[in-house]
Amino acid sequence: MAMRGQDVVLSQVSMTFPNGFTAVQPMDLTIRAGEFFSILGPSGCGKTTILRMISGFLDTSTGSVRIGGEEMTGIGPNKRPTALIFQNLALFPLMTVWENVAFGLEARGVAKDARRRRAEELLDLVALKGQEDKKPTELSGGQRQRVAVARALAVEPAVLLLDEPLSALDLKLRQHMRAELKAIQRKTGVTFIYITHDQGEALTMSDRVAVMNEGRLEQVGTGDEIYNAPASPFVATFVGEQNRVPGQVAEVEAGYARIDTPFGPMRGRRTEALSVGDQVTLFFRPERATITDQPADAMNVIDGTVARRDLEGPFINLFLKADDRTFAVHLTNAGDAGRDLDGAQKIAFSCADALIMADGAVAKEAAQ
Amino acid sequence: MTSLIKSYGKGLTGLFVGLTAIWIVLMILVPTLRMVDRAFIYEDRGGEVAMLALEIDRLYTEKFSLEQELLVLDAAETPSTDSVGVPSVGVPSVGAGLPSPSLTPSPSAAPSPPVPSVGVPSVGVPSPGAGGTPRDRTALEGRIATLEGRIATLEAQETDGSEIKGVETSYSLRNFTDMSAIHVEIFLMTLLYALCVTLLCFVVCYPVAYAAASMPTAEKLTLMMVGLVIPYAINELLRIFSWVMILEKQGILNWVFDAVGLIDFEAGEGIRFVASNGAVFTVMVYAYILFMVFPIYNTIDTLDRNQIEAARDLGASTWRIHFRVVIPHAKPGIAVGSIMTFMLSAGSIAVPEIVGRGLHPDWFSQLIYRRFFEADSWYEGSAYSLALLVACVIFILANMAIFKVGIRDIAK
Ligand SMILES: Nc1ncnc2c1ncn2[C@@H]1O[C@H](COP(=O)(O)OP(=O)(O)O)[C@@H](O)[C@H]1O
Ligand SMILES: [Mg+2]
Repeated sequence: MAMRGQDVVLSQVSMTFPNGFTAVQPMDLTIRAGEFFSILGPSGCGKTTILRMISGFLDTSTGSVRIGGEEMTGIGPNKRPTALIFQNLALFPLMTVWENVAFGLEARGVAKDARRRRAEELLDLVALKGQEDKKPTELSGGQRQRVAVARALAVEPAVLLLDEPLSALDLKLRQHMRAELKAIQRKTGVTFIYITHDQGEALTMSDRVAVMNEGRLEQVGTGDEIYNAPASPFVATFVGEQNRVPGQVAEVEAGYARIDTPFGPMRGRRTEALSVGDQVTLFFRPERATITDQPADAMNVIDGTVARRDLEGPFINLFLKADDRTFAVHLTNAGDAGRDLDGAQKIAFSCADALIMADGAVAKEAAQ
Repeated sequence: MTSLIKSYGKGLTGLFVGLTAIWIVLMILVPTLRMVDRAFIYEDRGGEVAMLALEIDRLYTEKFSLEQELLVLDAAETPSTDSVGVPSVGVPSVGAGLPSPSLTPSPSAAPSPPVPSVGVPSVGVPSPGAGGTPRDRTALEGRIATLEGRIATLEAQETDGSEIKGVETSYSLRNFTDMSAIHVEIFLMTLLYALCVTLLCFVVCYPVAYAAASMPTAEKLTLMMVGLVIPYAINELLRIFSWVMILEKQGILNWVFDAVGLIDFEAGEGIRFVASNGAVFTVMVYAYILFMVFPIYNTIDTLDRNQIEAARDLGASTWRIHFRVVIPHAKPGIAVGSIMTFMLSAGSIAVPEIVGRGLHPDWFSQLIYRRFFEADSWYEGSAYSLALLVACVIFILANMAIFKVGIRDIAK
């Protein structure tokens, strides 16, 4: 299979709909050739709109899209080296599986025998051998998913665009399909641009992730960067769980800041310029905090009372109340977690695990 | 059925089912069976009985006109007898004479049943009541009497004959096999024309339906109202006549041509569009387009737009998208639309009659009309109707086979 990925470069691309609504603010984004790139964002933030501009179904309001170095303005979706996998798959229900897969080849005038052979190869690639003559409706959700992938790959695209393709599947199947999509991407070397509102998908599959909110790019980076070094309060709260402590900057140090909070003074990392007196929020993740009687001196400490204890197999999720706030602490279920955790407790976390950012938009709810 | 009973109760459901059954039997089964029955009854118009019936008819007509003359005479005499002072005798006698002539022509209009001899004796009565007796009056009465005599004998023969020779109507296929070559040609041409109209309708409707279905919802409704529903609120005849206005030799189209300078109205130039095949097709397409647009529109409207985009994204041209994705999806709608359009245009009588004006070759429906009411042959008329019905049913079945749709899809 002679497929090769190409890079996609968006420069100052924006989309304003005829009704005046700007779904995508001007943005620059470079997706490298052969990369598994995810765009992660809450529903309605403009992900599909970006995908449609790349595939050519929408004309950009400003800016340009280049694929493999070629300017795409004025080129229709049927002429671009992209293939789109729709949110609802959009398989042709009246055609058989192999006809679906071979449709792109049919449009290119490939003879029937050759089409059939190629369809069989591709169905083999997506582990659907023997289903050629069924109708899509006779397949299971996961199988239909694979037909859609095979159909898109049949035209040997340089860029495969996937719009939340797994959202209709149940959790088990979704996890299985993640691995398969990733494997197919590795095998073919095609650039995948994968849209999702599921952080698990984005983090597990992607080489790089872009997090979007309200038509803007919040951060582009590897999964580690996104999770461990979020660039904005939105990213911090949208990807994974966070505890939040409001405060005011008391002292600015190199890479760190000291702040005053209702729970006493605390210290944490900072990534942006702050000045004394700024209203800020300190974020720390539940799995980075522990419960301890004797916290080390350098640690931040919050005094709380245990309100709830949920056992989630490998983790124990504790919820502690302090003032009118609730803090979550995730402990690994490793022997000592079985001890009686009741009443007043100290939550402790290191300064390196605390992140201080100026107040800004936070996610209304974290991604799943 | 059980769900009906559940939601409406036994009484209402029973009423509903009963009414439906009555409707099916009275309005569909009985007339259709009667028609089918008649279609196979052959009436021998050249036979002896038919000749007798014709002769009796002719005699009744003659007698009726003589009696009319007699009445005129009576009316002329009445004032003079009035002065003599015997009105009580004279007037009722004329009154008694009156109903009989008015009765006689009506049975004679229907040739097949033997005429009841009701009118005969009453005519014989008036002669004594008459006052003044000019020569021609007696002559008239004499002739009437002779006619009555002949009618009586002929009628006697007719009733005798029916027992011996049997009814000259008999079951056979002759109504079909005797169809003249011209009629068969008209029949075939009508089916061909109807097929053409159906195809034309489809060609016109498909893009319209597709465009309408692709529009945003609000605009869609406006377009539907303005473009399709309002024109169809206008009476069908008016719609046809408006086309006649346009296509007439002195019509709007020629007037436009005149204005453009193509022809000279004053000099009597003008193209006679009406009565051409093109005119009949145009008007018919216009008259039945809605029956094609709506079913197609409905099915296209249910097509997932993503499928069209997916096809385009995979590199398909517009033609391929339509032939491989949209039309296959719209098949049930196309089947329903073409069945309705075909049936309506094959059976249309108003359009060929009004637009064709007798100058365009007859439509088969016109022929059926003439069989019934002009040739006065209900048996042949039924046979012709049956032929058309069978052709339409064959069309429906062929249509369903071609489009591979079942009754179920169509019902959707
Ligand atoms: N054709 C359109 N006209 C106006 N607004 C639109 C149109 N399409 C999408 N939008 C709006 O743009 C925003 C982004 O949509 P979309 O890109 O589909 O979001 P998502 O990230 O969920 O895929 C949404 O608020 C949506 O309502
Ligand atoms: Mg979307």
